[in-house]
Amino acid sequence: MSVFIATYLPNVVKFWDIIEKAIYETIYMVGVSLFFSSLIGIPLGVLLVITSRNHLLPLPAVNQLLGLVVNIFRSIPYIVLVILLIPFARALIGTSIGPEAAIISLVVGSAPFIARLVETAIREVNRGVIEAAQSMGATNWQIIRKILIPEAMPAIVSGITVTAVGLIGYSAMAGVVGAGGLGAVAFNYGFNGFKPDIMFVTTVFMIILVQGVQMIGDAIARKMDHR
Amino acid sequence: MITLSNVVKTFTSRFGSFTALNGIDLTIQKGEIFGIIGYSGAGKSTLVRMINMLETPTSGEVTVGDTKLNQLSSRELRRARRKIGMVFQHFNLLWSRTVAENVALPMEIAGVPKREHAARVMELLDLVGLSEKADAYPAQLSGGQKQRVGIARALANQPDVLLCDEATSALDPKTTDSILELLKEINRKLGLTIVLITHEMHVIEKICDRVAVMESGRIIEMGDVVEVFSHPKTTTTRELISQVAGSEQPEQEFLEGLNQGAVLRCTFLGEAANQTVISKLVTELGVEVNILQGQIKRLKDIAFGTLYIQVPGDVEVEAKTVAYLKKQGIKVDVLRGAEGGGRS
Ligand SMILES: Nc1ncnc2c1ncn2[C@@H]1O[C@H](COP(=O)(O)OP(=O)(O)OP(=O)(O)O)[C@@H](O)[C@H]1O
Ligand SMILES: [Mg+2]
Repeated sequence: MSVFIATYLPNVVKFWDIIEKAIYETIYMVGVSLFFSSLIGIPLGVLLVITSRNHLLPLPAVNQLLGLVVNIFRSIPYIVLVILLIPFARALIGTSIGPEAAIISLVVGSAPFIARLVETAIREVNRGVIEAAQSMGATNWQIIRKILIPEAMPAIVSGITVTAVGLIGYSAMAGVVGAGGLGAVAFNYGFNGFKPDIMFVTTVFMIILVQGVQMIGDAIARKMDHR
Repeated sequence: MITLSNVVKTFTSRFGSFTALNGIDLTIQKGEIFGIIGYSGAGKSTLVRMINMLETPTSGEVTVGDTKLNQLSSRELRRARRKIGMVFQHFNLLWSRTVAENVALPMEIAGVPKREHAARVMELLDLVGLSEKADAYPAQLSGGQKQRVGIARALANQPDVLLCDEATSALDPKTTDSILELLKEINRKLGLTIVLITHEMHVIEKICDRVAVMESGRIIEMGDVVEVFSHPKTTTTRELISQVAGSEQPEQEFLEGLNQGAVLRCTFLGEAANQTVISKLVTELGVEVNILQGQIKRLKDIAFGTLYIQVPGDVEVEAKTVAYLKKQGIKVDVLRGAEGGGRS
């Protein structure tokens, strides 16, 4: 095995420290972005549902505005978003490169996506159950917390999983523009540095990450689903 | 206990407006089981949903206990709703929660201290006979068991009123009966008022004290169940009553295969004396009667239902028989005339 690695993946051995660090950077970028985009996306998704017609809190103007904002951010290509957010990142964290800067664009790019997935998930919650809660004297806030979110949870988890997989890909793209992580290593060492073995190995690690995330996400969703 | 006075509900949409309730006046006594029956679209659900303001009246007043529900602020309304339990046709349980957690939901919502939940949940599950299913999820239960959970949940905050919107319509006849028994038991044990919506006369007959018959957003008949059953004043009520007894017609081929004689359909609508008319037909008129099929149901001294009979003989026998039956207050249709061949 080690002979095989030394023969066919020489640069991987040589640059292992950098690859290892890149793996952690990718996990860090994806994890933190996923956390913040869920933090923004879930409430946004809930708002998109409850402010719609015939729901808990019909506010057509607010609903349309939110929908518009979400759609605008969803239609901007990620790479354009990265560039557009450079001044914003500078103002917020003092730099436009590195993992933290990438996290900003990753969050802005994926929060609206999560919002839409959460919206769909929550719309699926049976009207009858909402009505039952109303008949018990529940407030809208109680309905959101005790009915809408728990009942939609498996679908929300699936949505977050899809987003996490997407984020792994986007984080690699962010890597190309100076964010670090596996994407950066693949690009800087593998592509620009003519080291195909590094390109290959970093890609393999990305595939492993994607598989892992998908498996964990599926398992959690399955465990929560008592239908 | 519950009073609706001149309640009107008009739904307006961009396609126009529709009056689902058209001047409802109704008083339901404390502790009674009150049934509301009518065909689909009559406005039954709209009416029962007025009683907990899931639907707000366009005009008129709804009083439960001594509270005028339509004048409450939303906070006061939420408080009032805790004392009005509701059971649904499709159960509306949360599948993300276990049976016990579902039953505890109304207590969580009302802010009952958590330590009191477990005991109350067990008490309720015991009442509905589901103690051993406390940790199951709704998806693992049968329809009847789900409805028992629905009932336990509706009772969690010790309501004064229980509203049931087609609580048995998704269940098979046997399960329906067991749920009706449970409702009756709850009504007796806890003394709560039950308002029950249905399109099945069987449900009314089985547990209701009083009944209102609805049609096109109005109450067309109301009174003690026995009273309404025995003197139905409208065709709708008669039709609904005839559901109780099976009234499907014999096959045409079967009728044609019979040897000669008239085939009559006798509909007992409650006003007819009783079933002895058939035996009197034999003794007093001297006609033979061959009972083909049918079912007569009795409520106290009153008979309801449909009977298909064959009267062997000529046109004269037929006429005599029909006249006699009509005199007894039975509705008679001649399915086949005495000399063969269908007439209706
Ligand atoms: N939100 C609504 N908007 C418009 N029309 C409505 C609405 N809710 C009910 N209706 C109409 O009001 C009428 C009465 O409806 P309701 O649900 O009370 O009937 P029902 O007697 O309960 O019938 P079913 O036995 O089918 O449940 C129906 O014609 C229905 O289409
Ligand atoms: Mg209905």
